[in-house]
Amino acid sequence: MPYLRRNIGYIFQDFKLLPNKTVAENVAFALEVIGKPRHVIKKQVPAILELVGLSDKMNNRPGELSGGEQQRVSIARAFVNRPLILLADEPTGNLDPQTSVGIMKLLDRINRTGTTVVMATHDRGIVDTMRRRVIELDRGVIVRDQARGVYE
Amino acid sequence: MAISPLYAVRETGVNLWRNILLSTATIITIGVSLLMFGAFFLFDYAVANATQRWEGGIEFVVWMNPEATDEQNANILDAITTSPEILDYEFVDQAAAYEEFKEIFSDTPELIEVVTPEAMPPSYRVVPVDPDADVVEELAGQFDGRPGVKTVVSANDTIRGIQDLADRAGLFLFIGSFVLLGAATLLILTNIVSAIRNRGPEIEIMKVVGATNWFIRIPFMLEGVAQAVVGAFLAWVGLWAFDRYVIEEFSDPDGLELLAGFQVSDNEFFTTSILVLAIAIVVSIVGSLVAVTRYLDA
Repeated sequence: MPYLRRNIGYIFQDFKLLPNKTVAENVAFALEVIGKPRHVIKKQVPAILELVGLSDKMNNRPGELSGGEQQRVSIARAFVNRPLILLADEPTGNLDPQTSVGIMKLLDRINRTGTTVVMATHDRGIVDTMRRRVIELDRGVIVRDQARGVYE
Repeated sequence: MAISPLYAVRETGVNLWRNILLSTATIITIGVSLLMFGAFFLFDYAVANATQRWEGGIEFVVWMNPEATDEQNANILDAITTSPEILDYEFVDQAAAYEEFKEIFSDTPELIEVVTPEAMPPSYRVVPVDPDADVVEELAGQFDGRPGVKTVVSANDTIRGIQDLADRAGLFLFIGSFVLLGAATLLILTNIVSAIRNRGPEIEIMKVVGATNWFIRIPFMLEGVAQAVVGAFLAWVGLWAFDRYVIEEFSDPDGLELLAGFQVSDNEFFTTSILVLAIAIVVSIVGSLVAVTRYLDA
């Protein structure tokens, strides 16, 4: 099971960042605990922070960042191991609309690199703007699956 | 992929530091319990060495002159074997006496070098039918002063008292150390459970990103082992002091003759040290394994 999990990245609504670690350490932690060598970590962490636009904040702690920035760190941690699938549980649930747009753009960029992004959301605006595949669930049962759906 | 030693050491250090007060209490408890455990063994070795010749119901020893004639030896043997008051005896010849001497004085090879087997007096270790002190004294007196006999030494009430006291004190130390070792195991468990709860969010992330169970467990288990090893070191220092300032003081050549031989050889001290370390590691692994399997994998 742990080895299968390495192919899946997780993004949480409440970020789940470690407050006593810096941005870089939070991201590096995800590689370190699956046994990646130090030289790999040193190379991959700055690269992923560059991708999410946080190169200048790598030594800050989560408490010093805005909500949007914290979610970017969370995305960087989830994506740093280049998983096949990224599961995002209401990633914009704690963010204002403008910041949410930035997060969605980032997830879209990640999706274009070949990683499947599965996102759970109740945000009508995001679903309608993205116009991507929509799967609607009702009490755990799929009731709709559209290639380019909108919120109904 | 294997866990990196740097990561393991760093995380173990973090765990220990976060619970420094509990860690210190655990280390001290382990140290004291192992000190008692080790002291029991050292004390037992020392008493066994001091009373070696009085084991197995032997109540008096007839020491022969090394130069005694065959006839004199035969007369003494005849007196022992025909006496209805003597149940059993053991003859220790010069070679066996020399081996025993070498064992007792293994720490002082210079003494062994100057003594030869020929210089060792052979002896008869006698088990009387009735171990009553008065009877033994009267019986031993029958051999004292006979031709070829160097001296007759009897195990008096004091030696029996020492053996009895040593047995009781040893039992007390043994039981006490086991109770404390049980407490130490529970402290290690509590310490690790506390560390696991402190690091709950980190453990959650580790599981989410795919860290293996062993990768998560190892720093916590090392925490328990580290506490035990430091505790064992403290116990070792205490045992060294116990040997140096208590046991060796008793066996002081200028001290009581009765306690001559009350000492622990280097080999016995080494064996005890290894035993203490092994017990520490077993205790820590038991405590750690229970903690990680019950509270970490849940």
